Amino acid sequence: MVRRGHRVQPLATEPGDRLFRKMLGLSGALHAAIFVLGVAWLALSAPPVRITPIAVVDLISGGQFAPQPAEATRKSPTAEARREAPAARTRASTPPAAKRGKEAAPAREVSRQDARAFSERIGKMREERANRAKVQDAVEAIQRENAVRAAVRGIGDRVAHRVDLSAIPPPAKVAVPPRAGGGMPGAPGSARVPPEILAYARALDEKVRANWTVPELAQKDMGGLIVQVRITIEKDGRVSNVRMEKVSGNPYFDDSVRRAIQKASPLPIPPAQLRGGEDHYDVGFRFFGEGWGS
Amino acid sequence: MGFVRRSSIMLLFVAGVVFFPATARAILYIDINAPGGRRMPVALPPFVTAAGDAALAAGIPKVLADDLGMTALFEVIPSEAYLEKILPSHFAGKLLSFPDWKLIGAEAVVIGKVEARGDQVTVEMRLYDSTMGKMMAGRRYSGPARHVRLIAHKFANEVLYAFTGVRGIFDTEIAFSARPGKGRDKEIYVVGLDGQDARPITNNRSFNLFPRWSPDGNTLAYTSFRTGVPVVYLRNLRDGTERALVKFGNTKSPGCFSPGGDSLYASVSVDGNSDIYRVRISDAAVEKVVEGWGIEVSPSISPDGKKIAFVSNRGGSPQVYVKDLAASSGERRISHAGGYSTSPSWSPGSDRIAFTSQSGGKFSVYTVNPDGSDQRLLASGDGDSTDPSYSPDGRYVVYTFQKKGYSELRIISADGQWGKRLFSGFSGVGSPAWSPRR
Repeated sequence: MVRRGHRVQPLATEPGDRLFRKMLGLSGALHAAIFVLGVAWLALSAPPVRITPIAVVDLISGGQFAPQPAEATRKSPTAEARREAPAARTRASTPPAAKRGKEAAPAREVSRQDARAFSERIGKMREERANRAKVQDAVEAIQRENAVRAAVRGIGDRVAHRVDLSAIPPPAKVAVPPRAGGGMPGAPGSARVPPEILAYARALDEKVRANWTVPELAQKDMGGLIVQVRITIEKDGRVSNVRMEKVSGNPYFDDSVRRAIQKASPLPIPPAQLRGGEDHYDVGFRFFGEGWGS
Repeated sequence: MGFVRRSSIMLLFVAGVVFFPATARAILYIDINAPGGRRMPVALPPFVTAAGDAALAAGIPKVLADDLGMTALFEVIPSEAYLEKILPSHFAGKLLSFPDWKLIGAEAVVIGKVEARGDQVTVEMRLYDSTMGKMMAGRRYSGPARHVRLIAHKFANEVLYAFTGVRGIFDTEIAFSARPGKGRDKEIYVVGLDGQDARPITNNRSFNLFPRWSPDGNTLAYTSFRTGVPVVYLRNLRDGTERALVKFGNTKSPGCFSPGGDSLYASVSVDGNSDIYRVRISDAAVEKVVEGWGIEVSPSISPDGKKIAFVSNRGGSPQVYVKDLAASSGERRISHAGGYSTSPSWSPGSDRIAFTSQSGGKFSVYTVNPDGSDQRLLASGDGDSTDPSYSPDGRYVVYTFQKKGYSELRIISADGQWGKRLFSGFSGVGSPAWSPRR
């Protein structure tokens, strides 16, 4: 056993065999050369690697900056908002019905009495809407023009070129007299609103709406979204407090409303008779995700 | 369009007067409906160069502007209007002057700082909501200087996401085949969505055709004639390695990967009859999925992997058909445009199929519902528009435009409202394939 084992011992352990060592060296050199050639070929023939790692550091979640207050509101409405939620729901449920029933409700009532009078009325309403649309288009065109002019000329002279909607004649006086719901049935509460409040409400509506940009991608599933906010307007028009009374559940929609309010500030100065001796005026807005007629 | 017009109608309606118990004061609620079609104004002031070549920083706002402009959601405010200059201190605690940005109408401001050392570049970008005065997104990217455009694309994705919650596709790429020189050989290339940084994937001076992306974006399948006969190869784009997958049959071309990426659908002709096969990536096991007496080619799988669109000439001329893979029969013709229809591409949302069809002596790109209804013309020109491929978000389609030997890649929005030239410069541009998201 021992002799046989000795005989089959690998040749490499026999140091005296020169030829073998020579061949071993040659073999090693050849292998190394093939390896080097292979690596070089791969390096030369392989295309540039497409995906090179780019290291990314998130500056917000990295704790380098203060947390965003909007996130808190986004995930859970404030206690105040929760408290007011039932009231908000009540308010939300009635007026939209009134708004959407703006044409349907009179239709039901009037058709029972006089179909002809009704059709005349509808025609008049459509005309009014068309007028409003024209005026609104004109106002928006003026606003855009003013904004661009102010932006371009405003360098070094910021105050003189503020983009201020108060400089634009209110469309209500041009085409649509401020009528409380047009005296239509099915619009509860509107008849009680005094004209000066309505005129001011129109001015607020224009300013806020002109500053509301809703991302279109989010708009795809925006039907039915409603945000209700209450804001405090100081006597100089500045918005001092924004309370989200009802959030929509879509954070991007909610944020767009916050931006609209902040961008619209300062708002038209509240008339003294509305403030009732106080130095501020509270007003609410409801932002609907669903477009008119859609 | 109607929606936009209707929603732009001024809607003022005093909803009601509610007495707030605490103050006994009447609170007025004003209702406002969402305006449609309004773009968000964004300011992109010049980036700050902290170290290195200033040209690196100078190009980034343009990349961001082009990306965001594609979406029809943002409009970039001209830089002449900007009131504040961005300084290095804005990245070290100094606040932006938000009223100045608000004054010029900017709702969002993107600022950036670039630091280049040798081949490495660090780009810090921040997105601010100027109306709320808060940072919406902030990222610091480090990588090779040649990838500075890719870094900009990645941040454009962040901007889109911050305002819409939708993941962007600005860092995706498009693979295509083209002739690099005057020879007849065709190579595979990949180009960014901005038409820049085109680079070769193959360089073997043979015919390399039909690049197709794997779902993870790491592999390209393509046909190459480099050994004299067509073979479908899989190229790993991460390490550059490659292996042959489909070797049987005569002519062959990859159609698409399965949604899970475990197999490749390819058309292979055996004894002159071209059918569609499913080839497993792991062991190249083959299974025939569509067969017929004629030519069955150009497979495109539905996003759920249950149906396959393909081209067949069984009705006399090549047309697009859809087959339910689970059913043994029920192949339905869905193209009705003209005498010749080919190259179907299933949209990621599964709701449309784009294809090429011949009408009026030229090829145009059409889309159709998977059941064959509601066929619409998407892209047409004074030449041939062919080979559509959907973007991973389904909002765009890339296709080839050819006219008298000239060829280019074009992108069009899926609604046909917006389009641009993506890439030109090579001849014989064809078979574009949009990469998946990164």
